[in-house]
Amino acid sequence: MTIYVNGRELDEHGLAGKSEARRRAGLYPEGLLRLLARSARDELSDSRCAMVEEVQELNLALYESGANLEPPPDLTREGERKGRLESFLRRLQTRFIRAVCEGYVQQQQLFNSYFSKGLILCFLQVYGREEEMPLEGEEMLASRAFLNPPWGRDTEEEVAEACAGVDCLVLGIPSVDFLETLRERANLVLALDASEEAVARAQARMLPAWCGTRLSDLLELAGRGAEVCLVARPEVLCARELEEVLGWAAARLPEKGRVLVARGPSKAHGVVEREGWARPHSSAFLAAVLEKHGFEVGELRLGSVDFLEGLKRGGEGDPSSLPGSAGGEEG
Amino acid sequence: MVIHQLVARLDPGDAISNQALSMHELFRSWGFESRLYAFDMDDYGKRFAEFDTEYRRFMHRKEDLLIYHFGIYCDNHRYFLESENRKVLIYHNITPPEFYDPFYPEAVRLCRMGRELMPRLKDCDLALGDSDYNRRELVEAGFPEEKTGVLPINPPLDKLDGVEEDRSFLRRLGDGKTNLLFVGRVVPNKRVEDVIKLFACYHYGVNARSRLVIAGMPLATYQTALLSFTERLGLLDAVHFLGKVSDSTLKACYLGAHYYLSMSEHEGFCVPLLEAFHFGVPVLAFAAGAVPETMGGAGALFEEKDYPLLAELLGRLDRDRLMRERIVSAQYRRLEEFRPQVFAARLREVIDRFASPGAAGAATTRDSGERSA
Repeated sequence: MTIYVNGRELDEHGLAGKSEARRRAGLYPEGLLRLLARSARDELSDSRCAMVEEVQELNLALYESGANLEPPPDLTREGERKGRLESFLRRLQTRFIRAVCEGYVQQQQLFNSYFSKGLILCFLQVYGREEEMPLEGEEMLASRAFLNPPWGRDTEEEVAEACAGVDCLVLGIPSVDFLETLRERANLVLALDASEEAVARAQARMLPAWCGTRLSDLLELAGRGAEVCLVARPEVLCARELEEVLGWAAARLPEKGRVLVARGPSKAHGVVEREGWARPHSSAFLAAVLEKHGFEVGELRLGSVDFLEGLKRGGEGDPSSLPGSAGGEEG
Repeated sequence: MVIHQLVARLDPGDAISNQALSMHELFRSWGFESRLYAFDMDDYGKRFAEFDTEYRRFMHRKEDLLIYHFGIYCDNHRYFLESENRKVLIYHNITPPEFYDPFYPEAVRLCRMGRELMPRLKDCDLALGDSDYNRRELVEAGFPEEKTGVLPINPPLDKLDGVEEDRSFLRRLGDGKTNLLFVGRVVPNKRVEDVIKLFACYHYGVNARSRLVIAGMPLATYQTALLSFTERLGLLDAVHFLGKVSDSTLKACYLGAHYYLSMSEHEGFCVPLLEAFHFGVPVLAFAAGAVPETMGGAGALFEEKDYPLLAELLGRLDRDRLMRERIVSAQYRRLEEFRPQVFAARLREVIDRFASPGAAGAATTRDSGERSA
């Protein structure tokens, strides 16, 4: 491939070498490379169907729950001020569902799917992000208080030793040094974290690390399996995310595959519900999620940190209700 | 002599509209009576233009000049065909219809009809492309080469300089992340999915502290596909679709951007490249259509889309400040060739051929050196 910079051919051998090194390090796994070959045309046909199905499911659920889809004449609920965003969104939702149900879907499904998805995204970007940013005072302290303390070198060494020689996925990056140690002792498939800082530091050392808030989606995208799934910082996942990740592990780990979940200082109260914040998960909850997904649960101490070890049995366990925890109700 | 300009649609932010408006202002400043007509327009357009039916009463005035901006099929081409004015066609290029299939059947139809119409418009005094790439398409469509020339776009940079940037948005962009930017209509020929792919490699492989900002009027179906694709890539938190933005937000986008990306596979000119040049944003662009010509040897240009390699190039630019500065300097130099004074001189040269007595029908650009490289 030829690259011209200011009209002159750039010697891209250095770039190609680095790119290849990253590929070998696992930063561009198969799942991602497959998507790079996908066209927007493929996406259009898939998303069109997916959206219509979603709307129909939503409509059915609303119908079965006895929801009245007709908006009130003035579009407000009792006691609700006129013109509020909620009212607007409810009207929009109602109109949209009706439009789809009444057969506009054949003519306008493209517009509808664009419109609803665009609306959701804009809403999240404008309102969701705005809310996430200013963490101040007590909220900030509370958020930090639930973060587990950093691992000591002894813990890092012992965990790396426990994973030696096998393919290993890391969820939550304890430190970049730990990832390097792990890469030397085991086969580090991928490390995922919601913190851009941690991931950027890892990427700078050519370590396979990705950043994102939907870790189970990223695991799917990476399309890589492993023998050990190390949940090093469960406190950065909400209960739903933990469920998804462990569900993924149950489906993808080979038999006798292991999940190691670090336990932080036990905190059963003071729950912070919002996604993206640090939250304490009680050991009982972590163990219950593991058992629910068919793991045989044991305890393990590596260095100065306690872990729950889940050993994969054949088949998934019975999904039953879980003991309350930080985000247990969400799950 | 009255100068009439005819466009399909006049609305803010559109390159053809901007070009017609800037010519309209110049004509008036030179003392000509200038009139602007559109088949369709919004409230903004109504401040400057009349509906094209108003042109009908001037059609038989042989001393007038009609300039037709041609960028899509529009029924008002009939005025151009039937007019007895002296006639200049400015060809802004028509996107090959296959790009719009299956996203927008109506655009497929209009683009196909527009391309089929081209040869029928050749009976004019002068046909100008706003790039040599466009001029060559005119020749391929059967326009006599000696009656073709190039009149580059006059990018509306003064307009952006004149507005205050959206400070709150700029603050959000200035949070320490590396901002990649795409500006333009979100339509299939721009290959915005390829911009997202490059960003995915950069974000996952090179720099997690990064975001992609996409600013421009979306084609609904195409954007649906892009949203779905972005979600599939796990990048919904990192890719921002702004839609059509105000000038102040657009300015904030450029001021906050670290790189401008173009993966477009068909461009007749590509004004955002020059806007990025103007704001000192290094441009990385796929060499397609008129893009290499517009960039004129400045910025980074590539002929294949090897996303991991291009992500590495971005990473190199992150580290190599000197290379960045060299690119930006070259872009500023290139921009000199698009100064308003240069455009005004070229336009004046064209108009003088028609304004001077006895010049009707004799205007060519070959001997006047009008055609630019």
